[in-house]
Amino acid sequence: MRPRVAFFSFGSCEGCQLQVLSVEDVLPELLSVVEVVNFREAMDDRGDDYDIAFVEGSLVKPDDVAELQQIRARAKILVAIGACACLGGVNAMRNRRPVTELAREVYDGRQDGVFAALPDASPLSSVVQVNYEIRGCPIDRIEFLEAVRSLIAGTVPYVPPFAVCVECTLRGTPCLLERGIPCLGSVARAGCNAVCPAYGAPCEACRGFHEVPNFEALGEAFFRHGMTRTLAAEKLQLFNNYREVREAWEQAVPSSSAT
Amino acid sequence: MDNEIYRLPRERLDSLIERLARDYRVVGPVKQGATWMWTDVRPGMPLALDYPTTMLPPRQFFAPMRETLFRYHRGDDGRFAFEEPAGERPFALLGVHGCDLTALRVLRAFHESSCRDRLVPGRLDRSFVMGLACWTPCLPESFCRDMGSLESESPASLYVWDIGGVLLVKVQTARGREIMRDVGALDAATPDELVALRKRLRTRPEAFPAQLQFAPEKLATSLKAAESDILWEATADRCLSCGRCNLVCPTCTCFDVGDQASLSGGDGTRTRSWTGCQVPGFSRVAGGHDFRPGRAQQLRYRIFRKGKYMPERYGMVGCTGCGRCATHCPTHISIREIFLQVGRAP
Repeated sequence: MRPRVAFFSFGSCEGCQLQVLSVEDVLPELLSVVEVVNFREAMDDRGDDYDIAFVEGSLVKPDDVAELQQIRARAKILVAIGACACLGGVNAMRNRRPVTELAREVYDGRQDGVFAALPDASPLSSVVQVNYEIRGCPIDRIEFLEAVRSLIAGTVPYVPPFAVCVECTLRGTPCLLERGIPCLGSVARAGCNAVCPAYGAPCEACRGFHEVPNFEALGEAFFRHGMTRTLAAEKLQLFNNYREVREAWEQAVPSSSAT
Repeated sequence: MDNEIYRLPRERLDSLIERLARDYRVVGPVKQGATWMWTDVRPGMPLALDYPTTMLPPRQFFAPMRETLFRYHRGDDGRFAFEEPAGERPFALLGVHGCDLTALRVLRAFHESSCRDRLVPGRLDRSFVMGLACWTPCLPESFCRDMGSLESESPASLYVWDIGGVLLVKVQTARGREIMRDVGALDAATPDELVALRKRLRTRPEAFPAQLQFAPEKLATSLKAAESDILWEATADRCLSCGRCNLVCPTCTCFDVGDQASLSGGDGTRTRSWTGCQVPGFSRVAGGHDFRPGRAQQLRYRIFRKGKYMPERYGMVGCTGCGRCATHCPTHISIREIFLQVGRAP
């Protein structure tokens, strides 16, 4: 019997679900190995009986917590997809300031229509057990398919343990850091085939960190290439600002003021 | 054949590329942004004979960064059928420096050793290499003269000295002579040109000041003494474990093997791709055990591999002094400095 899969979304741009939908060329093959029972962005049916739940987004509203717990209770396997779900992502940038202060600033003091927000935007793993993660902002469609294949085969989806530099170098991309561009590739987790640096954009570590990131050395690398250590800290806050993720690097590179 | 040195007027390089293109996929150093890369060259493209080494080494043409070993397909009867990829067009590499020529010998030695490989030696056999003499160090970190690779002239069918004006070409194989004949470049170098060449070769070492105070053969013994040196800890503190040193190294040979399967699992491709001892996950084996954990141990292994294990196993030092690893390291960890420290130790 084909495993039943469901897709759910919390605080996010829903771009990861779009990536899933972009697999048109292999959609028939995909649907021959899984049965999709819940996928709001793609269909009307809403099934509550599923084996694998793919969940994107970070927890931002008080209601999100119970909803995720319910998904966890129903799913045999829960897979976090994307930077928001895995790391807190860009949503967690707000965590450095009180949510009331931000609401006042952003909404100019108006309360009508503004939903209640959790004090911190947080990754799924802060509330429930996450079995597997597919990282990235957005996730990579090939990596998603590979994860599906692994789950069907009963194996562990592969997550590269190494740095973006590996994929970047093998693409023959000239090092951005060597050109004085603030790139986080040397601490960031690979799996994206270093697509951003290939087009001249520095790595923002949207997949979090590789297995043994050395943030002191990252600070030194920035410094050696004419940039400040503080700039490294500022860059790290874009995707890796959730409390527990931030703790990994905050001691090593001086943190800047709240962004 | 040792004395077969011919003249190749610079403008005839084009005919050479044209001739080689009939039998080979011709690649040479081409500048891309601030970086030099081995790239396809066609007649009419200027061939840089003064390039300061490429970021990625020439081994990519013999042991590709990622190559398909075979495809598999499970039939209705449950049996697997295997299919090997079709043979590719052999490569002609133009302008290979002494360091990289040396590295090709290391590459062959490794792939013809105990774990005999069929593909890499096959490509080395079928390819055409034109070596190129260097007159100045490529990079501040180059120490090819110390490692004995500056004067390396093989394996190459042709070996070129750019003495200004005309190019002098030494024919080193029958295939090389055949190509030179087809290009119509079998005029012997004139006595004056040979004198000029000898003079340049005599003064060349002045441009390559000695960087090490000992012969590379001594490295194995020096490293043995540095077995438990705190040097490894101190240097590894600066290491990002990004793996660039491995990937840009012309003598690194390690690869990973994996399958890319279809969704239903019946069809797939087995590939091998570059990896290295500084890449996280490299030394993790079944059950999750890591037999060489920690940056210090990993750095120590890389240096030992180049300076001790390779000489012991293949009779050749594993570092050619090309300077790539230090140049492309984000925190500039220099193998030259490490060798120097190790050699200096009592």
